[in-house]
Amino acid sequence: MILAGMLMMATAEHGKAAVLDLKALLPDHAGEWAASEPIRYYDSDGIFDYIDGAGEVYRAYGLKGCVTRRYEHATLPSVVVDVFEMGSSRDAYGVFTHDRVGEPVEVGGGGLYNAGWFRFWKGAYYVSITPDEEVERTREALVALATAIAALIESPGEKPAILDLLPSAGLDARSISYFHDHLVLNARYYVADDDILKLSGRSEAAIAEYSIEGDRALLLIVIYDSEADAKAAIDSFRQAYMPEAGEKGAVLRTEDGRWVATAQFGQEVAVVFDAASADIAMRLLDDATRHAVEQRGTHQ
Amino acid sequence: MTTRSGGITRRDFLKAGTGAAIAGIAGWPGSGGGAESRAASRIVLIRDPRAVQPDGTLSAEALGEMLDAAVATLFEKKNAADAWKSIIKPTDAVGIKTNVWAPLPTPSALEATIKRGLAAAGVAERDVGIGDRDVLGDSLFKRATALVNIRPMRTHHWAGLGTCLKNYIMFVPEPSDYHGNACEPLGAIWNLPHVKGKTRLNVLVMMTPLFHGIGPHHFSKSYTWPYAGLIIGTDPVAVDATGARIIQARRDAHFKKPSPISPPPRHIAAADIKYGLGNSDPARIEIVRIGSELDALI
Repeated sequence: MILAGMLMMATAEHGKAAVLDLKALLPDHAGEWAASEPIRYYDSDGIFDYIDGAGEVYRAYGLKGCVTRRYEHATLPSVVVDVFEMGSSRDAYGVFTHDRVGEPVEVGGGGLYNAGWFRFWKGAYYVSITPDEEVERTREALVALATAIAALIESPGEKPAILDLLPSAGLDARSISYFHDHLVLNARYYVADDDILKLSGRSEAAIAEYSIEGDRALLLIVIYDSEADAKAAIDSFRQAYMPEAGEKGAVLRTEDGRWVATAQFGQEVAVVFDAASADIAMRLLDDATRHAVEQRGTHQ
Repeated sequence: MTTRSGGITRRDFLKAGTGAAIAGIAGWPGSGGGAESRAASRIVLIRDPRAVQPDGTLSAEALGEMLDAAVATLFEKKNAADAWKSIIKPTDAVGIKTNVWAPLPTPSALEATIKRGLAAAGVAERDVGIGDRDVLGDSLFKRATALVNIRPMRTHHWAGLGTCLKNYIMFVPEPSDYHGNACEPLGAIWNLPHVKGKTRLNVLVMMTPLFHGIGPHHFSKSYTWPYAGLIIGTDPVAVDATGARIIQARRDAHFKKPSPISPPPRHIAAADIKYGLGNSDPARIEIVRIGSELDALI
């Protein structure tokens, strides 16, 4: 009982320390910006009180907590800075890939600017800066603020290893999305109401666009815990999405005249969506399979 | 096996033939039965460019006039007062379910116009309440015999669109319970005992709708435009489906390519097919248009 109590206290103290670390990323002053409000903190349950439905996206990436603070500038509209501590740097990258519209800017692990909104990821943190209004100097000032905050994050973090499984030929790297959850997949590319790929909120998954012979196709790769789980997932997808393709279920033309193809290689499942032809679908699938085998050989 | 197992997939929407179907705003795969037997719904779309000033502020006078004209037209009465009398009793306790989302709240001029209409119908001031996030605990809403539903149209991070149907999410203690599958189950809230059958009017404010959301706060003025409209009706599904079509058309025009609302606002068609709340199919919606038709988009 005493040991359990000590463990609970240690956990609570660790939690408090973690919150303090998070708050340290929102200083009173950062370059031309000065905080005009105290920091507010929200945990993963309380996040809905702050950003309503959007909270689900961050929770799908293992949100630990969020701190937010308003900053003022002498000549520009004020901004709200939100720092989200995610489950891992992979998850911080994942949140970043949820919306990739915008101009790339080199901050942290990667930044984007669009219509006044600036965001970047670094380490396990995803940082969003939203101005009250976009004016002429907004972009320049937000980049400066973001750079100052990024400097406070020690670890650069790393992108998910699954990205190495995406073949490079024809890849539009700016289209990559990383996720664990079928609802996040559906927000990017609607597949099905049910979790027919058995992502279960735990699997590592990435989807990206490819340019092939002047057309575009999508490649989805999912890594499961075991070959048996991968087999169950591909069987589930084939039964729910393409039973007409038969037992092997490799490739099928869908109602819009585009092609879908699937393959399993070990613990991974690959699906090609929206290919212009069966040949293109199978070639992209073959590229993915070959590349995955090569990657395994490289890491052994 | 050539028969697909499980629930709805992308292919079911592809069969319906349009991107709008995948967007969930024009039909539901496998729909039938109740929808076909339900009478068509009548809604009013009123637009007046005077309502949105060049600097983006709203004209209270124009808003009031628009709502009065729309209500009178919807209920086929000579004036707004008579229209309100036809749907509200003097003994009603009326909750006005508004929306306080800071970047795009319900215009106060419209709330005031509704209150004026309720007064004309003989409802005492003490029997009228306006609320949003506090409605479950509000004493007036607890005893309300009638509801008026009003909110601005906007995109929504998880539901696809913030609609009249979605506006009732505050009538449940755990809104996050309804976030699953892009908030598809929202229609179920309308069948809860403390809500069912009470809504007399739905007003979807289309003054400066948000057609694309970015960031955790989901709002950028760059993605609004001065549509200067109101959509009203007794059928919330028909009102929302029509608003959704306008948003979809605006997105396609702005981005210069098909740009489906993301995630698809599935809750609108689900409210029709699964929960029987009204008509989402444009073929079953009669739109009475008043005022400007410039850049109407539908």
